[in-house]
Amino acid sequence: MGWSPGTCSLEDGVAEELIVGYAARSLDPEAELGFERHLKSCSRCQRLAAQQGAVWSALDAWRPPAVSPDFDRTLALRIAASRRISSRIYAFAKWIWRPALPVAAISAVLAGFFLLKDQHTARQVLETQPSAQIEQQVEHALDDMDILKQIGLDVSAQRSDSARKI
Amino acid sequence: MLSRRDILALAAVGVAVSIPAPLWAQRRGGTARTPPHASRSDTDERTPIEEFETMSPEAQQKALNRLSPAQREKLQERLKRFNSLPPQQQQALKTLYNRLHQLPPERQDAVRKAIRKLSEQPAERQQAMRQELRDMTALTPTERHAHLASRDFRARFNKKEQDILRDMSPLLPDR
Repeated sequence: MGWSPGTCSLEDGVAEELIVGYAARSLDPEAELGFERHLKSCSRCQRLAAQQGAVWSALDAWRPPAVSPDFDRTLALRIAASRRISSRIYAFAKWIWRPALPVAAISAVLAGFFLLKDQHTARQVLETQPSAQIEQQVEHALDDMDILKQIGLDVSAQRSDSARKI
Repeated sequence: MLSRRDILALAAVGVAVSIPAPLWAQRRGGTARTPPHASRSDTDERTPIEEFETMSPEAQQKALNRLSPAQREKLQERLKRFNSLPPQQQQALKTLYNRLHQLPPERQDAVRKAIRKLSEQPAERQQAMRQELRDMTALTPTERHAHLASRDFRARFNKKEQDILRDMSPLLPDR
């Protein structure tokens, strides 16, 4: 690999790939040597390699928190508690459902009975309603009769002998 | 698993829900009223006048008492006048009334307006239109429709008269 001095002579993408590999120490010896030679003459790659090295150093320094000794026991207790609540809800629902069904049935029958009773009452009111307004209906009927009288036409009679065919 | 009690309860719900209301009403002695605009005979349907006159004297008086004295007197006078008409004319008016009330409300109004317009026409034109209506009673609805669109009809009646006759034609009995 030929590393030229001065500005970065590496193609776009190649320098970044070499920097990541160099920081991870995954380059082969020849490439690593060639990249070190390039670093001496390229301030941009020096800066990027230093930043990448800092990331790797931080990752190396990170230690995951230790799992508490009673983690498994605590988890098992929580699962058991959750199962107990579910089974209680299920038992309660089952307990309440059995008497609720006959109660619902009786309620439905009673609701139907009272609904029909109301309908019957309403119907009785409707049946008596016309007589409550009969005087207005008679007046309107007489108004219509007066209008219809103006036709002067006995349409109750079917075709009379004198009616000419149009 | 459902217990016997649950099954009985479900059956009760099913029965309560599935019994149709009209059936209940029939079992309770209810009678279904004829829906408006249902098919019926022009002469079989009772007019409000007939309804009123077949009420008991107490019920008639109760209805009349809801009116002011002046209104009561006027209504009684009008009824007297109607009842003094010859039976044949009363029957004809009753037939026309029932035919009018079988029409949708907007058509009823159109017929009423047409009759009023008819009475506003010159006497000889009124006579011509009445004769035309009499003649149209001999036609079937299809024939009437064709006649109202015919050249002969349009030649004998002006636009206003044609409209009057067209609007009044639903009153004519079906052949």
